[in-house]
Amino acid sequence: MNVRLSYRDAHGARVDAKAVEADQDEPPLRPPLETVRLNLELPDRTVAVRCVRPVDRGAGGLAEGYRRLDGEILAGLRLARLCDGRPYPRTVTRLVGYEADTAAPFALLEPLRGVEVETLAGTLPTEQRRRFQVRLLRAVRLLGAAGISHRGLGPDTVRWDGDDVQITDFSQAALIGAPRTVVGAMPWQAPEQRPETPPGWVRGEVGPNDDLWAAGRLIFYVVTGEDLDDTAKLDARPELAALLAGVIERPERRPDAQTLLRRLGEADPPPRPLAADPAFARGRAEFFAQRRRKHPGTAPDPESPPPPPAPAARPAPPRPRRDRSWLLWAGVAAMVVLAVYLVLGR
Amino acid sequence: MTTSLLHQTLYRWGTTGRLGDLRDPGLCPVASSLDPSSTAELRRWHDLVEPWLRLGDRGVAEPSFFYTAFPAGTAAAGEAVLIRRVQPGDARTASAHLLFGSAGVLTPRLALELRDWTWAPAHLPGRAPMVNPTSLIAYRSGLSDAARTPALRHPLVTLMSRVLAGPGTIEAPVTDDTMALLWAVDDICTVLGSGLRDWDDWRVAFETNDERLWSADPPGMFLRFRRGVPPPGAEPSTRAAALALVRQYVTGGTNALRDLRSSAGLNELDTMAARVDRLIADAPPSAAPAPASAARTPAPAARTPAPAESAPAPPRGRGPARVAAAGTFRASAPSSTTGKGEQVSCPICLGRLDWGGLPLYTYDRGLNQYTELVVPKDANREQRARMTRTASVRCPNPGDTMTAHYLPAGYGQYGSPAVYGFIGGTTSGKTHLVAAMVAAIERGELGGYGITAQPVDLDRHQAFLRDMVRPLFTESTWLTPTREGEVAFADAFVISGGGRQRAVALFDVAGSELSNVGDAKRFLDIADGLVFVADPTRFGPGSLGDPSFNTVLSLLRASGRLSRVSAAIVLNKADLFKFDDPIAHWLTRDSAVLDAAEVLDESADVFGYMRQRDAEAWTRPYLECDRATLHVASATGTDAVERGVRPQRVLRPLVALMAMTGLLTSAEAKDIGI
Repeated sequence: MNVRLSYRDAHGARVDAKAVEADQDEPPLRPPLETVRLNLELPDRTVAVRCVRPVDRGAGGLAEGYRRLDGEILAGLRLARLCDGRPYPRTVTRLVGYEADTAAPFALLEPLRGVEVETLAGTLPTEQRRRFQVRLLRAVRLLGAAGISHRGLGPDTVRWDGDDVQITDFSQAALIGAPRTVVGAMPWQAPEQRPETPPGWVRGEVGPNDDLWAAGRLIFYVVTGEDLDDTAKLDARPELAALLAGVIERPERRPDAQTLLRRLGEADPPPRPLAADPAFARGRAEFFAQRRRKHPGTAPDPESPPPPPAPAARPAPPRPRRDRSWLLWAGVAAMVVLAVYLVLGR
Repeated sequence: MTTSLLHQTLYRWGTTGRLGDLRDPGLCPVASSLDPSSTAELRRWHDLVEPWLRLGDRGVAEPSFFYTAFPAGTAAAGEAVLIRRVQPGDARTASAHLLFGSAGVLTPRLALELRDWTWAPAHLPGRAPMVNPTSLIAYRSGLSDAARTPALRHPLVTLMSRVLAGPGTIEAPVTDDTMALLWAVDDICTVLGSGLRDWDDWRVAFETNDERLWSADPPGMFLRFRRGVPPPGAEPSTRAAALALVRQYVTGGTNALRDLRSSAGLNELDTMAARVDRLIADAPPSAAPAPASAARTPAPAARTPAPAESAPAPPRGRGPARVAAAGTFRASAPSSTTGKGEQVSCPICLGRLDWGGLPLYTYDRGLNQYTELVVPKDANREQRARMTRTASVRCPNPGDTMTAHYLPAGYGQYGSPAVYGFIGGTTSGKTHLVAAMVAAIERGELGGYGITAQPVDLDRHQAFLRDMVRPLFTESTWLTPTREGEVAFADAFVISGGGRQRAVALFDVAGSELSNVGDAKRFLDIADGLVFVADPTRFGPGSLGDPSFNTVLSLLRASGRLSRVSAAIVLNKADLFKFDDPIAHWLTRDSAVLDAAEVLDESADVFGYMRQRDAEAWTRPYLECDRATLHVASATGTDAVERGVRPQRVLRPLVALMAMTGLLTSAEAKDIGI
């Protein structure tokens, strides 16, 4: 089947392309989403993509399908923004394009690589285990930097191609800071995402460490082939016990992905988090300035730095800038001495 | 989360009940809407109200109503209880029916309105249902007319002088006017101090018919009415201030009190105590008679006729008016004030009405139209009262600007309606936003905020649902934009939940050129709040903004009303930008909680986003209106309505506007838009 597709790429540019449905079967998605393999004929090349679209089947029907498709697109767009125009790491499924506001919305995603780690549980070659762990944790760290949580990590949404992981299915992804909802399936479902949270736990808001629960259990599962349903199982695996310490804890007490990478000896710097547009930050500051103009008693912008203490207040401590000025003067003096020496020496 | 439903518990005399066996007989809870699987909550409430459930040796024929709201710092802070206690004979004949729940819902006014409810049915099931005050609308009746009868003026001045002397217990004799006096005192206190820091001390608590020799006093302002006690004397130091307040109230109702509050500079004072002090200090000395004469002020039960100069004009059409048809009466509306005939604003045609004496109509659901209310001649007083409580009045439509429309018979007691207009260009989606808001109200979604809403005119409400809501939500079809040059009434509701009932009217104002439209100017002269609907697809460098925003702001500035109009700027069609920061963040948050800090954060984010998208011109309402908020919303949830319409966050601007225009009076509401 040949169709003309009009969509936006991950950077917002409008693209029109001929799409040819490929013969190759795609692993099916769980309704209310479905997928087909397409070959996109772009002016300079042909690329294979998975076209994901809502379908009126499964729990929640089309309405839930639209919501899940939005999750895929939101995650892809944020990862694309994080990488500032460069292709983002292949540890997460890349978003090629999308159309979200039509009667038949869709997302175009890179094809799947490797196999679901479900098929590798307990059998992953020893020499690949550490690399798998590092690549998985870097992928989770990347999601955090993009301000999203996957919320559905498990052996069927994480793939391994012998060299790198590929996290797939962002249909349940949510922004960090959004109210938590019930999502996922046992045993990979973190307690804060279950219908009944354990006593003393609060539902709260999606946090940067929510995915660490499932990622930690997945690391254990891939190495041992067993579910980490009892922390006593770690006693027989001291290397995993050291790596996963604190992972099966409340989200606010869980170590973050960077800490786990450090435990693995991977000390590379984390990616810089997605920053707000400077124009947006200026607009917010202007809002609080206008608010103070209208209501002089109100507080200033909570995100702007506090003003320096008033002169009448206790004396401010010497500022570092003043120290640096001494260094500057010392440097100038040294240069003068050197110049005099050179002149006299000549 | 605050619920608008109330719990109920029925107590009967005995030695056993849901709390087990008692050693000595007394009032025991025998039925309750509280969860029967645990007695903890029942025990908690029993312990709270036990002091007011104690019985005297001998009862009286009439029931006694006890009401109190529990102040901050107590175990039941924010909750209130109403007890209807009956003891016609000795203690064995006693029973008590309790309603309790959020003090924002169970107000003194609601407690007084429910005096004629069919209380404590004989066979209340052991697991009684919760009580929805909205569904009791047929049993609720106000006392605005009775409370403002000039004949009540002197006892009211006496009572108010004691109230102004400060929180504490005040005793007065039971009379036929007890309920009306309480209504008046609550009205006056509510206008003066509701929501202020020390409101807990001044909110009226009462017992209407206490025959017991000893009973407990709740903290704060407590008015206890007993049979046979001597009438209180006026408090000399506060009588002049009380007289000034009562004079305003009897003459002009709560609207006049609000004007007094404003003109006397009370709005700038943040405690009731300070406001009372100001009133006492400013009261004209000549108004205060000598203490000796004050002491002779007639008691409520023994009041003397009002002086001739303040006697009411003959009421127009009060009581049932006879019609030719034998065996029936044509009922007429109760006047809102029996004296001078209060002017009431119609929320639909915005005309000023002389309330009172208008014929009553009832909505015939079978015919889907109003028909004149005919009361059978042999109907007794109670039956007649019940029939007229759900009746409506046909607006005489001054100015003949609209087709026939109707208002609830009790509308006169609600004070001036809050009038909100929706401003925005033809493509802004404001018509869809109004439809989505009305649909959400129809679904009862305001209940999450502790607010109940009843349509003012069922006929027009049904028409709006038929013409605007159902096509959008059921048939997924786009609505026709408002025609140019129109200020179109959309719908109106009687809102309760902020302490008192008040009408809210929604108007869809046509897009683009308003300056040529006379009725738009007239509308802006009375509007309390405006929803500026911004179309984000029109943002961009060099844009001059929405012409209708600019025109409205210019008209308001010219009329000097900018500071008196609150604004909610809605970034509509947010679904089209659902992946943008911070739109994506706010679309995930839509809990029915009025949180001033969250509203401020959202306002700052939307303002910042508009600036980021070169849409400075759309932020003008925030810069120019004193109280203003900004919101993320989507009337349809999608640009492809064939996918199904799913509004997002549409009630938040409306609730913010209710807070900014004084319909909601909680401490949180006071900070909205500032």
